[in-house]
Amino acid sequence: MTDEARLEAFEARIARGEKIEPGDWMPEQYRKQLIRMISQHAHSEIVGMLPEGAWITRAPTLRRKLVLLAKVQDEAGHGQYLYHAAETLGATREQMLDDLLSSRAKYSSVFNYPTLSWADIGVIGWLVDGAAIINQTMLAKSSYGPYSRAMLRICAEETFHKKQGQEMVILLSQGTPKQRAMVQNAINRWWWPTLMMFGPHDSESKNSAELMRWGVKTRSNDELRQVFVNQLIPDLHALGLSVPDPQLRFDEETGNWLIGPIDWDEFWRVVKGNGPCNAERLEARRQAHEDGRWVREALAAYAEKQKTEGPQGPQRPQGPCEFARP
Amino acid sequence: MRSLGSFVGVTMPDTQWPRFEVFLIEDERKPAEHVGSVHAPDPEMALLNARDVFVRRPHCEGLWVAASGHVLFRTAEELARDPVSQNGHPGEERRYLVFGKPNHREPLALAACLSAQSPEEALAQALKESSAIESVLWAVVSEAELTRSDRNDRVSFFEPAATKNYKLHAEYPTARLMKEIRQK
Repeated sequence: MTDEARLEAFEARIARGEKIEPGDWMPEQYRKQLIRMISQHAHSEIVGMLPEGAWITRAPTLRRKLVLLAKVQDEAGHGQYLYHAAETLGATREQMLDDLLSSRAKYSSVFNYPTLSWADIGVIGWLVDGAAIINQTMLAKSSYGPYSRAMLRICAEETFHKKQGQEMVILLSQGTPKQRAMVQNAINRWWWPTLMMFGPHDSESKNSAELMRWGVKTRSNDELRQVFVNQLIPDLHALGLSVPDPQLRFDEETGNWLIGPIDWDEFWRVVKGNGPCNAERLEARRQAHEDGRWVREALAAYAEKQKTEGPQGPQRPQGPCEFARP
Repeated sequence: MRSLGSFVGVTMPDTQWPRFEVFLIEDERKPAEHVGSVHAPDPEMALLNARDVFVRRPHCEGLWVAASGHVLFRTAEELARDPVSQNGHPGEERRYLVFGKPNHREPLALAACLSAQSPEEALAQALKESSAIESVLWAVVSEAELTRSDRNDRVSFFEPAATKNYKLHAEYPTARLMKEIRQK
């Protein structure tokens, strides 16, 4: 088959709603775009542990501490799912981590803002995870099998992240004046960075058209941002909370909540490494990578020992497989 | 504190770990399915990584891994071009598991268990015996090459997913709370 015929067959498969699997023929540009997207997504999950992790030791009750621990642990798990998905495309873990630690790779800018109060944990859960779920629900329909399946698992798990956050915001909003002020202050700081998570406007997004043609994305950045705003505003208002946007208005004609202009200069400033916590986040990841070096070295040494000296430690029983009925 | 630039251009000493294929038994009544691959230094670590990547939450009864080099993959397209023959691969008689993927939407699931002298022979035999089975992709692995979870792994591998209720979204009554506040 010629490359044109292969491309035609590839695009026909996507049009039929089939998943592209590792090892299937794919255009080089499709592979590159997916590695870029999936590895950025993986880095975001990993770096995303840091702002919330800072509050684990300060959680006000044991239950809240358990919940926050489980949530942060989930983000680590999601990073693993995604690095795995990128590896099926030929990217190596080592290269991806090197790109992150040497600040060549990007990750979601929202994690470059600090968590200043306990209310930030609730607001991150409801707003940041809520926004992520909208994006990830779309990506679960993505044409690349391993990415789509990772997204299905992630979405199922993140629903709990969003709801524990929303529950916290609800309780704080119905609490003392001090608690109400604390949660309003957190929303004021996280609102715009959350809206920026959906990425640049469609007219400015250089990758979107190609990603949509190949079924990696099925809806545009602006569409998804509007879904999020429409979902959130009525609930926030019902709780007596507001967002820091004097131009926000309801458009009767379309039924949309229309927002004022987003400060894209700030967005690009943070993307390019000059946000409030970029340096701190990367330093924490480098430290973690260094601290884990002895574990990787021990694993490699143990594997080598098994190769040269034969099996070590207790062996698993062999014999016919259980449940091996076709 | 190290400067921001200290990692630029430094190649990590780690080398990529070998790849293992991962098979999962979701339920004793369902055939094992190929779910993907992981990288690990040895089969035990591959099993642990597979647990973390594929079964942190979903119900699971068992997990198998095999080094990718020991799994024979053949697409229908490759078989049409280059059929496998039943003869000419003499080796030790072993039990082989043959996995098939009926179409591009369904998983690569266990289709046959049989004895053969090589993976090629096992595949040829499976194709002959079950010519009615259509598959876009085949995978063949010797049972002896699998590292499998066993009963002792259940507590640490599969049970945590079922016992931590605060990980379930139904634990958070947000819809009821919002409704009550709106009615006030």
